[in-house]
Amino acid sequence: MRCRIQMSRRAHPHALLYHYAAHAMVMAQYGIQIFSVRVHGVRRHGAIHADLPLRDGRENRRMVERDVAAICAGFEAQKYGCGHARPMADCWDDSGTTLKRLEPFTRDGAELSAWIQYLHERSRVTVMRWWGEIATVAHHLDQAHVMTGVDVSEILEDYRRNPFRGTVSPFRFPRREEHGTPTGGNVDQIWSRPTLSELLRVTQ
Amino acid sequence: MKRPDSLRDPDLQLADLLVHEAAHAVVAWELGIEILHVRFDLDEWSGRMPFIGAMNKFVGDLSGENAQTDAETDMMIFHAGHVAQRWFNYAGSHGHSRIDLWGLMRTCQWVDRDIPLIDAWSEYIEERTRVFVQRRTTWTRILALAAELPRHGVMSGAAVSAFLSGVRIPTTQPEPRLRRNPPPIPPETSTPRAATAGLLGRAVTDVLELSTRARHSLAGARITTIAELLLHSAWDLRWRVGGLGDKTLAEILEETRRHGLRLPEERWIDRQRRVRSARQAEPVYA
Repeated sequence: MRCRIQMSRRAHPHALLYHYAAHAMVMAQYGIQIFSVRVHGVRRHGAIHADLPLRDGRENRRMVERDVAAICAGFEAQKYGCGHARPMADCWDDSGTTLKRLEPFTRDGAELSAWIQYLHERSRVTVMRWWGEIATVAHHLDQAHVMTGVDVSEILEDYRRNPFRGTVSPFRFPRREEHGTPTGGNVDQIWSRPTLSELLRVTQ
Repeated sequence: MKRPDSLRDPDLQLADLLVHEAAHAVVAWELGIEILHVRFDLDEWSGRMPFIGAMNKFVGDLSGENAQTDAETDMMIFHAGHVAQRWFNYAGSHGHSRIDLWGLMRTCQWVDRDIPLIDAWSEYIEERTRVFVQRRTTWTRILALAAELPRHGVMSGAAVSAFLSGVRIPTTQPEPRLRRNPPPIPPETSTPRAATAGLLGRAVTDVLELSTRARHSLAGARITTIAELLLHSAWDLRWRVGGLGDKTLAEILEETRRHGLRLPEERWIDRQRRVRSARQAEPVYA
């Protein structure tokens, strides 16, 4: 798998770092081999090369879900780290890579869409849970520019060994919540099937 | 038999309820989950299908992948009733059973507490269940059990299992999806790679006998070797290469086929064809 991005100058200075740090951190966590992660050009270009083989649809779905969670993590971390509730410009969602991996498992479009949506949600929860690790890897990536999978594992081990590590929250930016229906985009006006929590009126 | 006045939904039909309960039972049976019994009350128009779900017996890390798999199995059973009802009665869904909804929510909450995640998860499993229920084999069993249910009133798990095992599924068309052990895809036979490999580096004009227009069009698009030609689909050639129309495209395709070469989408179509023939050779339900 290869993910390569060129950011515009308007992007958040840390967006690229969060993206690649999240890829690297989740891959290291799931035992996926990382060949290299690199960020260069004053945080405007980046690339990650990792061993994520295409599966032919006969394996357990868990395996491909794990792969895709690592792929979606970049997008979700970029969104979370920059304080956006919705994808913004320069949020690179790796949708082509995701689709290519899930398509062998189902030919049903609705199932595929729902599956991708679910895996994005799963990645979002993973990113929020492991934000401390991701921010640490992002910091090291900013300084080193190039890292291998071994470097990432060592950084994570150091981080977890440190008894004084604190809670890390996204840098400086407040969380920007989604708009309500009146000010939202046209997509809000389209009727959608009520979700499980809406049917049960469950709130968090 | 009279329709009870206590029912809230005026459009609800008896068949909806029968299909609902039958779908719970059939999906549970196909997923290997233990059914306690299926009960249907004709006077009250109410049904129950208690089962011992995978999460009831789960031991281990609740945040792990095994818990997710088991939870998804149970969620499919909970979703099956409503999904089958909607598939049976295409015009509408006639409300949700709150028992199923709470069952879903509780199953999800064993594994995760994040509500947006649970919503997305439930939606995904609903779609997956829909695909599962719409399989010819599953749907035939659901309809058969729905017809059988009113005769008994209550069917034990063993009786349901015995009945479903005896349902005959027509084998005229093999099931293309969700096979447990799909047969291996046979290797390419029509064009051995070794035979085409030698041609890849050669010039298009040396190998293919093409008209002047075709040669000039390909040269204009910087397509000089066979390898470069095989990187382009027929669509690319037709719409991206200047001066290349339908007739010229047909000529190029014919020439490539004559040499046992295929453009990318043709390779994909050929692979699909081989997969289909391999699956048809081996019926799933004999």
